[in-house]
Amino acid sequence: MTTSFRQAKGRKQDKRSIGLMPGDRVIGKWNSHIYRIVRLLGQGANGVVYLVHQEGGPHKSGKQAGYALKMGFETMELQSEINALQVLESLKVRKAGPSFNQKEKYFIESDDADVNGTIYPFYIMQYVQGKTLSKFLMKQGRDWVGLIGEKLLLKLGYLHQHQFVFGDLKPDNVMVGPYGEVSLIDYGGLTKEGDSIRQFTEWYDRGYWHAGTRKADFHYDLFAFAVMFIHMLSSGKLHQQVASTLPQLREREHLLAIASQCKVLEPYQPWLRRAIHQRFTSTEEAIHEWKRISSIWSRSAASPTRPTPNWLQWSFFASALLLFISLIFMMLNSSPGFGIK
Amino acid sequence: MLKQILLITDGCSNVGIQPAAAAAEAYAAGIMVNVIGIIDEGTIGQYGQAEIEDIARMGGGMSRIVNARELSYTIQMMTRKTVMDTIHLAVNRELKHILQQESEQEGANNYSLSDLPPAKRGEVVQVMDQMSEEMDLRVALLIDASASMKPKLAAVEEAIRDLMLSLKARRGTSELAVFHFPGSHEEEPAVMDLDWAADMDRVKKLFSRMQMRGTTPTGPALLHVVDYYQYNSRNKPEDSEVNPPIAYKETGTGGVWSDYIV
Ligand SMILES: Nc1ncnc2c1ncn2[C@@H]1O[C@H](COP(=O)(O)OP(=O)(O)OP(=O)(O)O)[C@@H](O)[C@H]1O
Repeated sequence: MTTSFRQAKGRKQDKRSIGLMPGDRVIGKWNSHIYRIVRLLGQGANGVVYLVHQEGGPHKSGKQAGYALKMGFETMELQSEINALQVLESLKVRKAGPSFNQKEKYFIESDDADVNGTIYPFYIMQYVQGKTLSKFLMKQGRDWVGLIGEKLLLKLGYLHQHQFVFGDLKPDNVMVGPYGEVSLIDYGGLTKEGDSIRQFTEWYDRGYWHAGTRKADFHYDLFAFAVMFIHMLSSGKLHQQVASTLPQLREREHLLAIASQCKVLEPYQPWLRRAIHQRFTSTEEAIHEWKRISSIWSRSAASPTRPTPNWLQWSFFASALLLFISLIFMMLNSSPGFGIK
Repeated sequence: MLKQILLITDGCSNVGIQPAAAAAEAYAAGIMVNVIGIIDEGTIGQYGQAEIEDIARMGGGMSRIVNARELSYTIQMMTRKTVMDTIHLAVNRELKHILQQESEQEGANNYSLSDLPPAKRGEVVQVMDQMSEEMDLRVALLIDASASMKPKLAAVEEAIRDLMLSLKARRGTSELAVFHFPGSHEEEPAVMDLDWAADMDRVKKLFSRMQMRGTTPTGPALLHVVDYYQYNSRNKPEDSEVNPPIAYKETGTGGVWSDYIV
């Protein structure tokens, strides 16, 4: 598949809406199953995801099971994602990996539906409860970096073991559940080892950092994993770095320089360096090394026990500043003649 | 082999054949033409915008107007779309075959994936995915190098390198060539900066022989690239014929599928 390239957040994207509202019914054209929209879960470049209940569907002790319904704009793109999910289903049959969960069902069914006169393709998958990784770490604090990182690496390891690469690894595609369980969502980037990465997001892409090819190998995911943690834990420094560097001069040492300024990542420096320079011999080795570091660290006195007050203060300050700026903007916009066009 | 010309410009042509006519000629020769209008701030002007849209329409491709930051993304999105459209075209015939067997109905000519029941789409898309991974392709980039483009050339070069990076990860062969226009004199509408290459790692600086002149001969430059595609491109004999955009083996019954599906 020719690579599909996504820009990092904050840039204009071709996001379209479908306009389904809570309570609306989605009726499958082919299977005649009916799904009722509960709420919007998220919107991406390829489609819109809703939490739904199936009408007349299975009940769990009186309570209806929730599913995630993804409605797409393009049949081919959506089918490509469905194919990825079906590949994952077929792996389950073959062999259970270490982080394998019997109950996990990636794909349930696919169909088309008429929404206000337009036919859209959609598929039903398991609803993944929880928060995105970045929100989770914001809220729960950095004590969780070690454990969550390990669980995520195990997920990636499972794919790598079966010669697949996740591809589009980014904080939005990692969900952390109420019990700290980690799930990957959006398998649109899932790529067979040796093919070209099907879908990536520029920041997390090693090509973007002039650090290697876009041919799928396990290093690709480990690289994105490293960038992701550096980005999430360095409070916006990566943004600044990218904005202040000419694209042609961007390089991996910039990532490592930012990582080295970040206290939480201190113990993980050697690990990050190896991931970014692609020096792990396997994902197992990377997992082993990560575990070793995190277990030493979480038992040492240096480990921060609560969400660092310092950090909280800063985010409070940042939100206050944001509020202040938005107020100014509102004022500017509401006074005619002053508005910024 | 899929052939594409990607024109990157920031203004209007002012000499020679109308660019839309040149694009039509390219399309007739089996080369799709996509156009990117690149801007700093503000707009490209009504006239420029209309011209860009015309070129793309006649060239069978698409057009976008973006700022330099979005260039990399846009180039790759367009290339991907060109590849997928071409595959759709080839696959449509096969779809028609499948669907007519299914419904016993004749008549309709334009089938698409969504006419298939969802359960049958997987297989088709898998084949399409594989075709796009393995298809050989050539992209000629034609860069407007008028004075106003000068500050954007670094971004253009970076975007070209990034395109190369994506393309060379594929299993099929991908080759890029780069041209800029105008040339240094009237008889030279465009200058080649990079001959068909599958790798740019050793190319230090792409635009070195740059001469900024006043004219913008977009049409003649397009024709120059069309000619280059047809006659000068390391002459593989089948390249000079007008091929269907994608060559696939017709193996009796199965057509496209038989190569992939048993
Ligand atoms: N199975 C799921 N359970 C819960 N929420 C989900 C699920 N799948 C997707 N979402 C939510 O919907 C959002 C968009 O979904 P997804 O990432 O699949 O769309 P996309 O078009 O591929 O987006 P992107 O452009 O961000 O890659 C996700 O960020 C997530 O918040």
